[in-house]
Parts: sequence; structure tokens; C-alpha cells
Amino acid sequence: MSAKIAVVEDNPDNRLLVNTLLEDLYEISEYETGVEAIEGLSRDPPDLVLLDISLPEMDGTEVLEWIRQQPDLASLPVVALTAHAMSGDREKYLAMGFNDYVTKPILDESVLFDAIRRCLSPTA
Amino acid sequence: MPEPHRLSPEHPSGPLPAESDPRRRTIEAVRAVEEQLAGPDLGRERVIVYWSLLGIIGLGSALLWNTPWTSSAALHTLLETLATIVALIVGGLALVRFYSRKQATFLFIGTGFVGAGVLDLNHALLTSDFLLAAGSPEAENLFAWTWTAERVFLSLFLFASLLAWRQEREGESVHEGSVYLTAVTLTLLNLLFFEWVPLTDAHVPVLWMSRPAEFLPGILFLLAFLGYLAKGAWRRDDFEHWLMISLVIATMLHVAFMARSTARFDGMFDAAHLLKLTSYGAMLTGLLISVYQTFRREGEVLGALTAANEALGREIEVRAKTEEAVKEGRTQLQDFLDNANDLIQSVALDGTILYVNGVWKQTLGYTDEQLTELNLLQIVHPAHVDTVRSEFDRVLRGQPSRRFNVEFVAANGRVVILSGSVAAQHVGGKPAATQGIFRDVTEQRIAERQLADSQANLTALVENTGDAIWSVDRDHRLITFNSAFSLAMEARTGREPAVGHLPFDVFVAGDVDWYAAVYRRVLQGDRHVALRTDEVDGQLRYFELYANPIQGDDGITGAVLFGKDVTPRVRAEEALRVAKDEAEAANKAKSDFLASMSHELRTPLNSVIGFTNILLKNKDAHLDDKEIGFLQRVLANGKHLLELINEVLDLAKIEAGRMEAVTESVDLGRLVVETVQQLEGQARAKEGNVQLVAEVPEGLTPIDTDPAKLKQVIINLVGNALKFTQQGSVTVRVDAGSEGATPVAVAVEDTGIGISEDRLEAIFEAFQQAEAGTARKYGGTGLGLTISRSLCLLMGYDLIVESTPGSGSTFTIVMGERPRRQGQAQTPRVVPFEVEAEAATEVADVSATSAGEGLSGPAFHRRLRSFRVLVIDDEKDSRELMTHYLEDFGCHVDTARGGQEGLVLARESRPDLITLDLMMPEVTGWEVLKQLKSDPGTRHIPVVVVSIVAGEGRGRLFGAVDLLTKPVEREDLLGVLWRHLIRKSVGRVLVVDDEEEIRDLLADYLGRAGLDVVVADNGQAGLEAVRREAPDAVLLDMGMPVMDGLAFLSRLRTNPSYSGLPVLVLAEGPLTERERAELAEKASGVIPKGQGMARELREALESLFTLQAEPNGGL
Repeated sequence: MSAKIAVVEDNPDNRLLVNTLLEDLYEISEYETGVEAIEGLSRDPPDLVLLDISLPEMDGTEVLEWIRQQPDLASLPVVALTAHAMSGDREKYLAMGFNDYVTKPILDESVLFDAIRRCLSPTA
Repeated sequence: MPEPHRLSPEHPSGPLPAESDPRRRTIEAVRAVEEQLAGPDLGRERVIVYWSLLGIIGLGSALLWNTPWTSSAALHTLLETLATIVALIVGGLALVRFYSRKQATFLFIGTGFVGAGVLDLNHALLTSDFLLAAGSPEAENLFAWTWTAERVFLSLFLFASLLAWRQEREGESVHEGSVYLTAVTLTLLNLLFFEWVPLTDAHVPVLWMSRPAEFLPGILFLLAFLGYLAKGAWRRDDFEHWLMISLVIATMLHVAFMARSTARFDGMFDAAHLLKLTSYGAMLTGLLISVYQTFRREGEVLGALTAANEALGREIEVRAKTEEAVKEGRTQLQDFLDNANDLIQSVALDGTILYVNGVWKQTLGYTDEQLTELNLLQIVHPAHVDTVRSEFDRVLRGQPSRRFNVEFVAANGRVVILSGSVAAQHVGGKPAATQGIFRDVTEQRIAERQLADSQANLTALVENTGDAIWSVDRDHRLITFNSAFSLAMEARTGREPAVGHLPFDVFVAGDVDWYAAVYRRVLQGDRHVALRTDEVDGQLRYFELYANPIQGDDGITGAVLFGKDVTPRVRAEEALRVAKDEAEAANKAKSDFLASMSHELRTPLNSVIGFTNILLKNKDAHLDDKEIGFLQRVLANGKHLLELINEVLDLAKIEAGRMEAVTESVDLGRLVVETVQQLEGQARAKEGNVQLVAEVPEGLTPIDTDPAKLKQVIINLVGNALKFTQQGSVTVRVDAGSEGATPVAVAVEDTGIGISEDRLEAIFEAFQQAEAGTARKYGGTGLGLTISRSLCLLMGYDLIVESTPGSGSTFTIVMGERPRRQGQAQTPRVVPFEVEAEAATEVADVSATSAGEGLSGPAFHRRLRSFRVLVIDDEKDSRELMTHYLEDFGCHVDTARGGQEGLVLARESRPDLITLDLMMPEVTGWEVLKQLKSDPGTRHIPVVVVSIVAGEGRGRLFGAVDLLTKPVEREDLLGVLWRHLIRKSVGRVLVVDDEEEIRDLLADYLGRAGLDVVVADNGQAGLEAVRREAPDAVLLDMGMPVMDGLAFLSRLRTNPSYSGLPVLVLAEGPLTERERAELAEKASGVIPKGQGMARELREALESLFTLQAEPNGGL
């Protein structure tokens, strides 16, 4: 039984890329917007969320905030997968409560895989 | 107290007053007595006496005429004898009188009477009965002529006495001797005449006279009488009166009697003789009276003289006392002058200095010798000479003295300001000198001037500040104010403020309470600044009112207030605030834009790179090599694009001012060494032979800098240099300043292709590289130098380049003496977290990319494929990173999660190299190392230790061939692989020892063990050998000439390239504590020379090298 990962990404190409990278290993559910995501997450809670920041209507930080406010989702690992890679962004997002932070473009897939693995097995 | 200057030792004795001359007084006293004695004018009475005498004698003559009287010769002789006696007495008295009064009159009278006496005697004798026969005619004649002769003689002398008086009155003296001579001569001639000359008859009757010859003496006596009458002394003088009587009688006796005597002894004859005796008697009386009077007068004169003398004596006594007093007074005065606090001087009219007192000399410093030669005007300051002259002239003209100021020049050149006056000094009623008394007012004047200056400055300051300044007393009354205040208040109230005004006089009604409140507050001691706005000329203006209490001895006495118009400042601040807000808004917009740009560019690149990576895996293997090649190009260009984006954003951030230098105290040498260490792999990976060297002077003082940015610049510069250098070296050098301790520059010097002069500046511009096509050939974004320079400028440094095309370039970070900027405290500021972290990440990115490019293609890569590396690390991330790097290099990688697993794997797989993490749970790295080195099966495998702290406890890491610090950089790892896998075909050992015998012994031993041996006879030669070609290990002697073992080690370890080079020290004898400590830090191990050395050396070498065979016989 592979872990379930929710991918929240508005760019269809990037959604497809992440899906392609992860589909062999994990069970993927995709959401295009933040609003869609919170509906889906409450309906079908995953083991981990790969969350883009820049999303229409409701951005990733708001989604995170919502997740952290849900009693049954509060401890859900959320990894920021974002093109916000300016200095300080990493710290900023980790401080917000993201469990990990991976920048786009993904030069080395293993970085993403490592991040997911770390988050799925917090004891490691 | 110096002896006052005195030019004349004796004080000048002034002339005595006229009335104090005693001689003159005596003369005057005598004269007064004489005048008193001269008696009253008795002229009238005496004329009557003369006329009476004349009458009586004339009457007598008439009566006696024809009286029958005949006497005898005896009577004649008696009378003549008496006459002789009287005449001699008179003559004697007259001479005495002459000698007492020295009047020539008396000389003639005296000589005349003495001569007459002698002639009378002669007459008496010749006519006496004893000699002459009476009755003879000769006797008759002798009688007559000897008588007449005597009478003529006397009358002549009496007449002559008158002439003598006249002569004396004319001022001529009568020669005493000639008078005597004349008298004696005439007397003798007279006597002789009667002896020798025959006498004629005396009786020649003429008219009524029988003896006319008698008229001659009669006339002479008359002339004498008339002369004395004319002289007039007879009126007062008793003697002259009696002389007159005598002359009347004498005249008459001749004219009235003897001339009419007809015979001897007749009545006329005897009367005449009697009268002659009477006239003598009159003379005698006169003389006696005169003598009496003389004696009386002498007595009175004597009395007067005595009195005068006594007075004089008293006066002398008084005078002596006075003089003594004066003298004493003078001495006291002298002392007083000398000790006076003022400068006192006496100066002659020509300026000669006659006297100056002690203070004068003290103040002006001239010596007595100098003063005798100096003129006052030489001492007076040239600018004041005219003043002095005119003041002297004034007082000498008799004008009153007055106070004036003058400057003198002291002996030492100092100008002394004096204030005082001069007075004229008179001698004999004429001005002879000036006396001056002055006070030294130099300090006072200077103080006054300074005070006046400062007062003037203060006034000017207060008046010209433009600010309103005023002060008030405790009762809020205005004390002082400047014109700015006055004008401002007048403009507002229409009233000019005045001293003593209260706030409601000074301010407009609406402001009074406000100002009163300020006054109350400041008068309570609260120094404060009050702000207010006033509408001035319809414009709002801002004022700051600085209120300061005035602290008197008894508390606060008032307050000073400064009203400053700060409108321009307030306006400027407002404008600045607006501008700042706008700038911040613009900056924010720019930042937002940059962030958006970054995001928007990365998003599509994510797909490009990501999908390309997936395709390149060629999972289904239906892509051919050509297609994979295309995909690789897509990937490479995608990565290049990402790099460009990173750098452009970096640059934009710097230029937008979003990046700040975060300074802290940094050991620059250490920073450079570490940076170079990190880049070493990149240098090794180059195809050509390029050495990367760090040159760092010892004992550098820490500097305040931003280590992350400086490191980024150095990495950029070294990366750049390596990129353009195919052969030679890249040197990173720290230049210390003139003091040799403070770093002033970091230079990166290469032996690469260089840059032509016309491109030297252009290379710093974005997207400009040295030559067109450089990017194609060498790669890179063309932004590295632009960013480097921007970072340098950001840190306050400069980045300059010098280059010779074909032989190399030098880029220098010029730090100089970095001035501390304002607000930059010793402690680092609060660090904006973003800056440092980002800088570090991006540097890693950049170098990773360029190193990757450096690896693509060369044979180096191929060779690495054949190696197998065991990574022993408990940290998963670290392990994966190492694996990632090593696999990227083409190596086979085995990983072990712990020491135990590592040891098992090492024995099983026999790797070519082991990387060993030190900090592991259960079995530590040191333990693993020890076990690996003790196991013959694994002993030969080179172990690279991966440590958290660089250079930590090297001494305990004996057996490890190299050292990597965490986080492990790709390049470093590459360097390690190169050193221990590729270059090392056989072991290469450097033997440094000064003893040839030992060198040979060791070389032989090592050669037999299959190792290459290089020898050096001292540390210096050893370092050169290392520089020529780095050995894999060093055997080091301690005591050597030129450079000993410890110095060699120190120098060796300063070069980061050799910080991991194993050095075995062969120690002879016991080590000192210091040596032991130093060796523990820098050497890899210590082997004592002597017993057991062979075994230990072999063990050591086996841990490093795969020894070919067991060397026979040992050492």
C-alpha cells in the first residue's frame, strides 16, 4: 500500500511532471486550485501534500493555514514545491509550518524524493 | 631685591637760599652798625662853627695887631716841642687809623704829621737857644724858613690826602710804599736843604704882610679845607669835622697871623705857633674821637658779629639736623621707590635713563649695564615712541601730567603694557629730567582685550545667529535680547520689546500663557525644548524654543531662551519622509517584481528541466543516442538559463539595494585558506596542470567584513581564473598593510590567457566577456565579475584587474583601511537572515555547475569509473550526497550506515577508498580507522576522514590519508579522489633529514618496500621538494640546520593543499612540552628513533601504502 500524496499545482505542465515523477511510487491526487484542494483534502485526506504557493484565489500559505486549523489534518506533512526561490523564502515557508521546501525547477529529482521520504517517515 | 640703579651716588645738593648766606649777613650787620654810628647830619651847626672860628681868629688877629708882645725863644722852643709831640702822636694815631681802616686819607695824614713832627723837632732844635745865637740874621731866617717848610710839607700832605680819597673813590689804590718814600725823601731833603742852602731873608714886606711866603701853606690849607668841604663827610663824620676845624685854624694862622709877623717872638708869631698847636690839637681830638668811635664801633660790630655768629651756630645746628633728617628721609624714599609696586623712572631730557627702581628692572629685565647704554626711546615699543615723546614734551612745557598707556619692550622681547604718568623734574628752575611712574597692566590689558574680543565675538554670535535669543529673570522680566528677537516680536505685536518688559508686553496676547508656562518650567530647573508653530506673514513656520535655566550662586536666577526657526528642517524632513516612502514603495515594487520574475521564470523551467531529466532516463530505451544527445543539450541549456536567472536576480538585488553587508570580525587568512581548500578539487579536475595556492601571511589581525560575500567574490574570482588558466597556477594572496598585520587586499593571480587592455573595464559589465565567443568556449554567464564587483562595492571595497594578455591576470579586492561607517557598531548588526543563507546556497549552485562542466570529457572521468568507494556515514543525507557526488564522478559506491557495517563491507568489497565519518553512534570513526588499519586485509585502503570541524585533532587521525570537512564540497571530494586514486600509482615519500646516513638508510628501506623516495637535507629543501611535486607522505627529522622540523611543519600546514598530507616525525631524544603540543596539532604521528623504530615505521607505512614486499632486515 503506497502512500497517498496530494499535489496542489495550478500549472498543468508542472502538475503532469510531478505526477510522472511520483506515480510509480505513490498514489497521487491532483488539485488545480487551493479551493479545490481544501475540498478534496477534507474529503480524502492524503499522507502528504505537495503544495504550490502561487495559486489562484487561495494561495498555498492560506491552504496550509487551513490545513493546520483542521483537527484531523493538523499534523499532515505539507511540502512546499515552489518557484519562490528567493533568498529567505525557504526559512519563511518553513517558519510558516511547511514540513519541507523544494524549489522549482527540480534539477535533481532525488531532492524531491528525499523530502517526501523524510516527511513520510519522521522518525528517520 | 636688586640694588636700585643710581647714576649719581651722591644726591645733588641744591643751591642754598640767598638769605642763608652768613657772610653776606655779617657784612650787612656791620654796615648797619656803621650807619648807626655815622650819626646825624650836623652840617648846619658845623658850618656855623667854622664861620665862628674864622671870625674869632680873624678878630684875634685884628686885636693882636700892633700889640707890644715879645716872648722868648724858650717859649718858642716849648711850643715847638709840644707841637712836635702832638704832631707825632697825631701822625702815629693816623697811621694806626690807616692800618685799621686802610683809608689812604689817613696814610697821607699820618705820614704828613709824622714828617711834620720831625720837621717841627728840627725847627725847634735849630731855633733853640742851645744851637743858635740869638739875634743873628741867620737865626732870624732859619726860624722863618724851617717853620714855613714844615707848614708847606704838612699842607701838601693834607691836600694830597684829599687827592688820595678821590683816587680811592675812583677805585684806584694808593701805593703805600711810595707814600712813605715820598714823605721820608721830602723830610730828608727839607733837613738837608737847611743844612746846605743859604737862606734868604724871610721878611719881605709886601702890602700889609711882612712874610708873604706864609701865604703858600695858607692857600694849600685852604684848598684842602675846600676840598674836604666839598667831600662833605664832615657833616656826619666827627673826625672829618675836626679835620675841617684843624684846616680852618691852620689856614688862618698863616694868613691872619704869621704872614703879618714882623719879628721873632712878636704877638703874631706866638699866636701863630699857638694856633698851630691848636690845629694839631684839633686833629688829635678828631683822631681820638675817631679812635674812640672805632673802638666803640668795633665793640658793636663785635657784638653784632657775635650775635650773627650765635645765630649762625644755631642755624648750622638746625641745618645739620635737617640735613640728617633729609638724608634719612632720602634713604627711606629710596627704599620706598625701590620697593614700590609700580615702575618708577627718572629720565634725562635726551632720554638717558638716570634712575629706575627695582620693579622697573624686574618687569623689563634690563641689567644696570644695559641701562647705562640704553636710551629710553630704545625700550619703548616703536609704535609708542611718539606717544612718549609728546607726553614728555607736554610736562616739560609745564602742562599738567596725565595718565597714559605705553608699551615697552622688555629685554626678552616681551611687550609690556604700562599705564602711568610722567612729571617734569626741575633743577635751578629749569626742566632737567622727567620722572615717571607706571604700572604693569599687560595681563590686565590682555585680559581686557580678550574679554572685549570674546564679548565682541559673543555679541556678533548672538546678533548674527538669526535665531531669537533672550533672557528673563525670575519674575519673567526681559533682561537681554538680540535684534532677531526684537524684530520678530515687534513684527508680531507692533511694540518694540524693552528691558524689564513682562510677557504680556513682549508677546501677542494669545502667546503670553504659552511663554509663561515655558518660563515657569525652565525656572524650576527643567532645561527643555519647546516646539511651537506660528503663522508668520501668512505662512506656517515651525520653531524650537530651547529653554535653559541660568544657575546662579543662590539657585536659578533666570533663563536663557533660544528661538530657532526650524521650518526649513521640518519641511526638509517632510520632503525626506515623502521621498523615503516613495523610494520604499518603489523598492517594494521592484522587489515584488524581482520575486515575480524569479517565480515566473522558474515555473516553466521546472517543466523543461524536469521532463528532460525523465526522458534522459530512457526507461523504455526507445531513444537513440542522437536523441539523448539532443535532450542533454536541452537540459544543459535549461540549467544555464537557471544559472542566468539566479545571477541576474542577484545582481538586480544588489543594485536595488536589497542586499546589505553583514559584518563581523573575520580571520581573513582562515577564510581564504578554507575557500581555497574548497576549490582545490575544481583545480585538480582541470585537464591541464594548474596549481591552486593560498599565500597568507602569519599573524593577521581580524577585520570587520561580510565573510559570506567576501567568500563568494573569492570563489567567483578563483572559478574565473581556473576557467581561463590551462597551465601554471592560480594564487590567492592576502596582502597585509605596511604594518604587516592588517590585511589590505586579497589578490587572485592566474597564469591564464589574460585580458587585452581595451577589455579591462568592459569585463565588469554584465554579459561582457573578454573576447567575443568566450562564453561559447569557456562557459559562464558573463555576470560573475559584475556581481563580484557589485558585492565588493557593497562591502566598501574595490575590485580592480591588471592583466597581460598571454601571461595572466590579477584581480585584487582592495580593502585598504576600512573606515567604520556611521552606525556600524562593533557587534554585528541584526542579520537579515535571507542574505547570508541565500548567498551560500547560490554560491554552491554556481560552483557545482562550473565544476560539473570541468568534469565533462577529460580522461580523468574515465579513470574514475574503475574505482570503488565505500562511504561510511550514519547520516542519511550526508551519505546520499556523497553517493550522489561519487556516482556522478562515475565511481562505484557502497554505503555503510555505521562503523560495524563499514568494517564488514570494507573486508568484503575491498574498496579502493573509504570515506569515514568521525561522528557516529556506537562505533566512532576513530575506532573504525584503528580497526581498518590494524586489519591486514584493509590496512592498505586509503581512508579519507570526513569531519565536522576542519583540522581537528590531526594527531589522532594517524592512518587517514586525507581530511574532508562537512559539508563536503564536490570539488573537495574530487581533489581527494585525484590525490589518492589517480595520481597514486605507487607511494611517494619525502624524507627530510640532515644526516646523510639516515637519509640513505631510509631511502633504501622505503625503496625495498616499493615506494618512490625523494630526499631533502633540511626543512627549506623539503618545502621546495613538496612544491615541485607533492609527496604522499613525509618522514621528518626534528633537528636540522636552515629550517628545522617544526618550522617545516608550520609552513607546510599554512598551505591548505597540504593540510592533510601525512607527516611522520622521527624524533631523536625526549620532546619538550611545547614540541609535543605542536606536533600533536600538526604532525600525523611521532616515531622515536632507535629501538622499535623499524616496526613502528612499517606499521605506519602500511596504513598508508600497499607495500610491495616485506623489506628484509628492517632498518
